[in-house]
Amino acid sequence: MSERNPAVVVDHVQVAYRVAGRQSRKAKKAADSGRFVVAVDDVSFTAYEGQTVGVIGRNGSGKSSLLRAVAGLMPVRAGSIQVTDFPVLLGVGAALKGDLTGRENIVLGGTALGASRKSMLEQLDEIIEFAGIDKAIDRPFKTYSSGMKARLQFAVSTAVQPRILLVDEALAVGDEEFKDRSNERVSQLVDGASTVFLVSHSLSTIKRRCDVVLWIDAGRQVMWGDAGEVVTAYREDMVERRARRAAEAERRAAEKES
Amino acid sequence: MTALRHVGEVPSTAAYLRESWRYRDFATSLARADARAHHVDTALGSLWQILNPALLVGVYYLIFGVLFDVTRGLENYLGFLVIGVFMFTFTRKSMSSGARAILNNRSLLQSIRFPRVVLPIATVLAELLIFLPSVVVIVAVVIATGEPFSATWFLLVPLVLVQLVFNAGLALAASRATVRFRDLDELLPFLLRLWFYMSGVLYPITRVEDKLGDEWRVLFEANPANVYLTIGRDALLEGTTSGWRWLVGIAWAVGVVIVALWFFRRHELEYGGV
Repeated sequence: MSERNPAVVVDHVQVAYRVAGRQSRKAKKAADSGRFVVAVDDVSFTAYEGQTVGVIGRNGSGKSSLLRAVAGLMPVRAGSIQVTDFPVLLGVGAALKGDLTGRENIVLGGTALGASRKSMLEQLDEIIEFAGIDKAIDRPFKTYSSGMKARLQFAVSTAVQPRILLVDEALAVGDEEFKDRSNERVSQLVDGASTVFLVSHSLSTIKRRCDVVLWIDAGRQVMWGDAGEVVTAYREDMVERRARRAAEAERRAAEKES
Repeated sequence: MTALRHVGEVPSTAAYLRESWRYRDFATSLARADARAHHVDTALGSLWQILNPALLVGVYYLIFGVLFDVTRGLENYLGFLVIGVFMFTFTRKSMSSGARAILNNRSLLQSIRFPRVVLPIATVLAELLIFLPSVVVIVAVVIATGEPFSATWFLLVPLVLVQLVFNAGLALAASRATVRFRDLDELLPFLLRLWFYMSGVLYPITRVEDKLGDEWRVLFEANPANVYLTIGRDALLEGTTSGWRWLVGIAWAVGVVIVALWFFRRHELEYGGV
């Protein structure tokens, strides 16, 4: 397998959310811009097979929206996204229902990811053990503690191995022991997938795991390239911002005094 | 090298249906869950799914059969009513729960990609699971009211299938429409109530037709709900069946499902952004 086969091609993509319902007159006047909130604007890159791609940026910069668009969960408003296989967003949550038992939820959640009922029944014991649910597995999901819920959701959503994997940050759930196991599971999936997208606030994780990194800010692409270079540039920018904020605060304090 | 394809590309109908078929286990799991989830907190549980329409039949029987006495010309009003109310409830509930199929599953739509048609289809399958015990009740009432057995009773099986296809079309259209026009969810119960009274559930629709005159007759006779109800009543109570009613009934089911599927798929990707 050559490393130069493109797996995900993102071309001048814009992602926007529609604002439903009644709107203020002002928003209506702004017509188009009032009905949409633009989350990602003019982002372009090509990820190849065998690559792990990091996505970094501040809160609300559009990282999750970008992943959702790549996963085919949201339409792009402009531009295009091409893939070799449908990417799967590794999510915590989703298909599980409160009134069903844990066992029934494993089947429901797995089939939602495209697995067959048969293959989920075969994996049942393994998933139950991984989640550490034990006897409660035949109780309704809504009676679970939040830790049990999170563990089962994680176990179900990682039961299917995709070729293109999208991982949004903060996936590790539960206590320290389970965090270790879940990190291990994510690593397995990452190893099994040919192309991986990783959103994380942990720059050390990004640097360790990723080959290339996309940095976006306020929905716009700031930088795309070698992981080390982009992370270094991002760090410098953070330091700069911090210094600017400090200077600003100082100036305000001085103004107040005078 | 694997070929690239656009994420937002609308697949051909054949490819889409193939892809949806791959998710059939999800549709049936979801349907089972939905069918059972309705009354888990009540003491009588799933029994309510039969009790509810049965009590409704009791109320209608009291008001229309005893107090207002619309039974003129009807030999077996209880049988007439049970078939009408239970069958109409199947269609009504398919459409009203179908209307919320997309809106109720936003978190699912925002995190997992699958053919969205699975959601309204699952709600209709859930309604089928709820309806099947009602079919037993219908047959029991028909026997208890002294109707002689007829081979036409078996027509109930294809009839339920045709009605299921029709209901699937309604659910698809309703789920799509409420995403675009949220207000429809509020309006729908009234539209369904109006349809209920226009469909001859409580009294033979011929009464209304006689009153309005011949030019309206075609409109009432072509009403799909009335078509299905009449086929059911003819088969169970009269031991007869009418070929043209079957034609109209099947034409409705196939037509509605094709148009609804087209309507549903046009903006499939947008459902994740609602």
